[in-house]
Amino acid sequence: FKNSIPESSILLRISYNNNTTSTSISEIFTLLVEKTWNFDDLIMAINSKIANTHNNTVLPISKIKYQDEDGDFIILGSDEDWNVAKDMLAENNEKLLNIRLY
Amino acid sequence: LTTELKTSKIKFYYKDDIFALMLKSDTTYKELRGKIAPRIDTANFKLQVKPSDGNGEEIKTDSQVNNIIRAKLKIAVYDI
Repeated sequence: FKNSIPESSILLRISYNNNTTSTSISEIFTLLVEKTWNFDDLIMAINSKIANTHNNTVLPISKIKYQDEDGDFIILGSDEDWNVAKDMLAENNEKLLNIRLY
Repeated sequence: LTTELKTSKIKFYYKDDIFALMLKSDTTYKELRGKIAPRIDTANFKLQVKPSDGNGEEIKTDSQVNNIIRAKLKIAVYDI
C-alpha cells in the first residue's frame, strides 16, 4: 500500500470531529496531496473535501495538527510548519501523515 | 546553494499546543524568538528549557539556544 503512493505525493490520514450535530461524530478520511503544494493549497483541499462530503453544511476547519515521530500532535499552521512536517517524513522515509482537524 | 547547515527539529510548548521548528545549529536567541512570535498570540513571552519535571532555566542567550539545538531539548513558552 505504501508503495502505491507516488514519490511526489503525501497521503494524509485525517481524523475529524464533526461537532455540528448534537452528537460528535469522528470521521477518518484520506487525502492525497502533492509535496509541491503550499500550506494554503493544503487547507483548501482539506476544506473542499469536507464540504463535498457534508453538502457544504459544515464550517471550514480552523486548526490542523500532525502527528510527529514521537507521537505528539504538532500545530500545522504555516508554510514553515508544513515544511517541517515534510522534512520529518523525508527523514523517516514515510509518505503517510496522520492529521487531526479541530 | 550547495552548502547546507545541519538543522534539528526542536519542539516548543505553548499553552495546550505543541509546535515544531527546524533550527540551524547557529540559530541565535533573536532568530529563535522571531520564529516563535508569529505562531503564538502574544509578543510578550519568555522561553524556558522544558525539563521532564519542574521548572527549567530561562533562555536568554545565543549560547543557551545553541545548547538546546545540539542537545535537542524542548522549549516551554510562557506569556509574561
